[in-house]
Amino acid sequence: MKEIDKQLNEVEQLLKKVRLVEPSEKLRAQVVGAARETWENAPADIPWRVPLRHLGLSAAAAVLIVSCANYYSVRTVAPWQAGRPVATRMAAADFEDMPEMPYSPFVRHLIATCGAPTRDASALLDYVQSLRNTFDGAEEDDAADGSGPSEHESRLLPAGSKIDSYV
Amino acid sequence: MDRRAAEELIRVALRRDDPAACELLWDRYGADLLAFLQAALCSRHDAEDVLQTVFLRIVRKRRHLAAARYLDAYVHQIARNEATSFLRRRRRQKRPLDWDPKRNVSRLGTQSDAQPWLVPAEPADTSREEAEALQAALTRLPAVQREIVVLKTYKDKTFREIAAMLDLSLSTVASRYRYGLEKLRAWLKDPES
Repeated sequence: MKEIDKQLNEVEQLLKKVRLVEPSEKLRAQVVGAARETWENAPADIPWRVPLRHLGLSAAAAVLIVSCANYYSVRTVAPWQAGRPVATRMAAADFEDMPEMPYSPFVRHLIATCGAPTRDASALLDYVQSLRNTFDGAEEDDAADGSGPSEHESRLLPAGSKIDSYV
Repeated sequence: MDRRAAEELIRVALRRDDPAACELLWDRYGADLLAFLQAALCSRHDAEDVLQTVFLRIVRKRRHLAAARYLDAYVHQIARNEATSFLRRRRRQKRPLDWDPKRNVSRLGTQSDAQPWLVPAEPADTSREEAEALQAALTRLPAVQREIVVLKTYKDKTFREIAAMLDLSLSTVASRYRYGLEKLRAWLKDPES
């Protein structure tokens, strides 16, 4: 250990045989002159502006990335969205020509209200109430005719009828 | 002037936005920064160029400097960043001729620079060849060790002062210095090793 230390001391002594070149007066005048000129002409960096600038750049980059992603996603799915309709609209059925239609007032109501916007809660409640009224009216009509089914009978097949009579 | 007193004067001038701080900064850091840059770049000419850039950078960041906790560390960090940028630019420009990929070091400091950055302390005592051999050996050292060896040997800085300047721990500075000297010992004994 001591031997190594001795050798390192020798290296230190050897290094002392040379020295660094000291800065000259000319260099001093040049550097200080340029620094003074910059001091007087260029504004100093304000510390709080640096994080603010970083924040602005980050926000701009985020907006750019999101815009690009949005644009390319819309572009990618465009072929599936812009195609022509594959089926033609069906002609509305003429329910007046169907004499055996059960609950015909209810079905008429459905046709009349088909497509009506029911987006808010009160409209939905009104819609349910009107359905209920229509449904109750249909039952009352059936009861008045005497053709309505009793409580436990099916509404589709009148009591006592055979399936052959519908074929 | 005492180091602390000099730093306090600089801080006061910076807070007042007084351009006289340029002279104070030079008096306090000029020689140290030039030594540091010579060690980092292994070239006197390049070190002088970069020193000017460092001072311009310090002037632009004077408000940061006024608020900095350790002036030494802040100023040397600016110098280190400028030296690194300078070396990167130079490698990009002159890589085919002056870059030694085997050792991953630039040979600019030893071969292309006509001005030596180390000169004989006693010209009568030390030959030019001896000085060149020492300069070549120092240039072979990794920059992190070379900077510490140069500051300790030629600027008579203590390990504590170097640690404060380079923002390193005391043990890191001491071990880098020792490893640097061991390598120099081996290379000076056998330059081909």
